[in-house]
Amino acid sequence: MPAESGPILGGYLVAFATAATAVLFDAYTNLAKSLPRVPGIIVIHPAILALCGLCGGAACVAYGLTDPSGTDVISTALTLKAQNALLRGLAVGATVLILLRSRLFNIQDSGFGGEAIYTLLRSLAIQAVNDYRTRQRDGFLDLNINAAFAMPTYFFRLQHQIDGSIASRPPEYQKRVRDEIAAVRPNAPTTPMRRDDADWENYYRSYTGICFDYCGPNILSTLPGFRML
Amino acid sequence: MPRSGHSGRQVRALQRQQPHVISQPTVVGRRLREKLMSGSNVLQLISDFVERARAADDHDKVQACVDEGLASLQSADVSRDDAIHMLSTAISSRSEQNEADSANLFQIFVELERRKTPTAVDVIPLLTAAGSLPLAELVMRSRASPEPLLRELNLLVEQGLIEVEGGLPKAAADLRTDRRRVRLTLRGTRRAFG
Repeated sequence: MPAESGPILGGYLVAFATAATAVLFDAYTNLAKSLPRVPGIIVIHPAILALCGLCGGAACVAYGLTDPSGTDVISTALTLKAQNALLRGLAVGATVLILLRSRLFNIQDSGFGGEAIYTLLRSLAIQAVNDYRTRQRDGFLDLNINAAFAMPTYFFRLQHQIDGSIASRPPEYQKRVRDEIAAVRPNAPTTPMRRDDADWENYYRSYTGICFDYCGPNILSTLPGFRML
Repeated sequence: MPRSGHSGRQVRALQRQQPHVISQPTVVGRRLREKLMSGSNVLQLISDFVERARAADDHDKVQACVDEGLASLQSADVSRDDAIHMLSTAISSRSEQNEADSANLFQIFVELERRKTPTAVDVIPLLTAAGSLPLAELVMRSRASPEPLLRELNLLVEQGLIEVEGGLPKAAADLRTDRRRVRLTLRGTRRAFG
């Protein structure tokens, strides 16, 4: 009925937005934990937005199929018996994720059920973000390799940039960066620095790649001759 | 009555006449002075090391300079790890002040890094944190030498956790120059991010 369409449409929208926001937040916290090198803003990558859309869509379907006055267990659990369309949308959007991520049973240590599918989709979305960031890094390193080898003091300047950039970061973040750099440094070639030397190129890519990952490209772009993608 | 046999009044009178008597260092004061002298000695050793490092222009001189620098600091009761850290920091600051010596100082800096005790880094966390990498960069970023790394890579490929474009090389020595990419498989991704 026209009189009800407004609130009902609003209910769908609220259900979609609530579920999508919850998934976005879950992806963001998972990204921050497993990929500290990736800036938080990258959470709006299409793969993650698609996952949010999928879960939002599931919330809309659940909203349409459940009846707040119904007596079945699923309707009661999802709608919390809210009669107002917007409140019902909020309840369904928040609780549908519990249903989606349910674990029906375990096979050895692996859960079987909605959670396994959700975790798989989330892993794929995060891996897509990781691959995207890796392609960005490779493109940046290709673009600026000549400028780096034109600077005899490049690696010292790079280290100073890194030190300055991570100084305000949490101690565990600083430790992670220092550990990665400490793994690379002993592999510096003993020959004079040359652009056409494969060892030096690997060294440049590894060292500068760490800086790109943990400090971002902006601080590198302040070096002479460096350009942004 | 003080142990010396003088009364309190006599001691105070003596202190007024000979003020240096009360300024003689106590045990704590002596230790503090020794520590300060030892600290200034360490600074002097670091300064000498940096001067020698500036002139180290070939591989043998670099080795000798680092050997000598570490030995001198260790003889001043500085631990090996602390000595490496102090010398690296000093070299880094010096290069910032004077770029003309950077080439020599960088070789010293690298040699100091080589002397640090290596610890192993797992491949899966590295590929998770850094994304897909060419084999040559994986060798550089994983602290492991090529032989154990190749063994580990073979194992991970067998388990279906990673994949290498075009397969793994047969010889470990080839890893250092190989640009084929290693990445996590779907199974590896689930393990890393699940």
